[in-house]
Amino acid sequence: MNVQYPDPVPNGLSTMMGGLIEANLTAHPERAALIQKRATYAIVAPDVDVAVSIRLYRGTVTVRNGVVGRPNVVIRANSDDLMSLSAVPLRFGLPDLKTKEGRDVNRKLLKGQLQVKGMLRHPGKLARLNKLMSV
Amino acid sequence: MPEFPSKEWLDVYVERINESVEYREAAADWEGDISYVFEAEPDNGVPDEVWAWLDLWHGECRGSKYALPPDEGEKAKFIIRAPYSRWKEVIRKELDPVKGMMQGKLKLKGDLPTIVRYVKAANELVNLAGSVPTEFVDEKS
Repeated sequence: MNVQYPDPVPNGLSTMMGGLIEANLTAHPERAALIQKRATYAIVAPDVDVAVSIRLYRGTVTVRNGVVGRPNVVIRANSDDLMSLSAVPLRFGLPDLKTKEGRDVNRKLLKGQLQVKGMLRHPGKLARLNKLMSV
Repeated sequence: MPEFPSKEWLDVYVERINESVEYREAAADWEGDISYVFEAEPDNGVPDEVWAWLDLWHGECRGSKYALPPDEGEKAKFIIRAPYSRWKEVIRKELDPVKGMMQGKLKLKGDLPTIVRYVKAANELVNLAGSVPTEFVDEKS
């Protein structure tokens, strides 16, 4: 199993994000290359007061409740936007601005409705997460 | 007015699904059955867990079953489970299903990438549940 949940009761967001990654790794085994190098993320949905931390390292994805430590990348967005992020077409691991969905993401970034801390410092790590979550 | 949960309620819900242009468009490519599990709340008039099943296919509901055995319901491609009172909140549109899933108030079992791709269809299904005139079993006069 590539995805681990150390918390006794993973919260709903942990279950969803972990389940999404797990299903994608099963459907696209080539994406296992994305989880070899170390990277840490937090995803925060303030409207539902839920957060999840994701750690990639040596072929394992660890999903924990809440924000753990100091993640490389922190994504903060409302629950609806988080769901739609996974369905955005990607280009080089980032939202494809040639598509309506990609431009919507860009617009939300500019308006602050979607906040991505660490985007400029760790673009490669952000791209890896996007590819892992992309459906 | 159909009581929730009941077969009568489910039948009206299926009618609403099949009448919905919005759902038909949002779920045009959807292939997969879904089980709803209404978990028991004896104090609220639901003494036992109830399974309801919908055969959803390309924007329509081809069939449904109410109070089917759990081992049959568990074969569905997707299972959404919650206590009765949570379903009541969803039907009354007091709880958004996506938010509810993220908060762990609704438990989803099934292929998550498919749900993400069809989130609009899933939301429409819930909206349609809210459109059924409903008498809740714990509020019966």
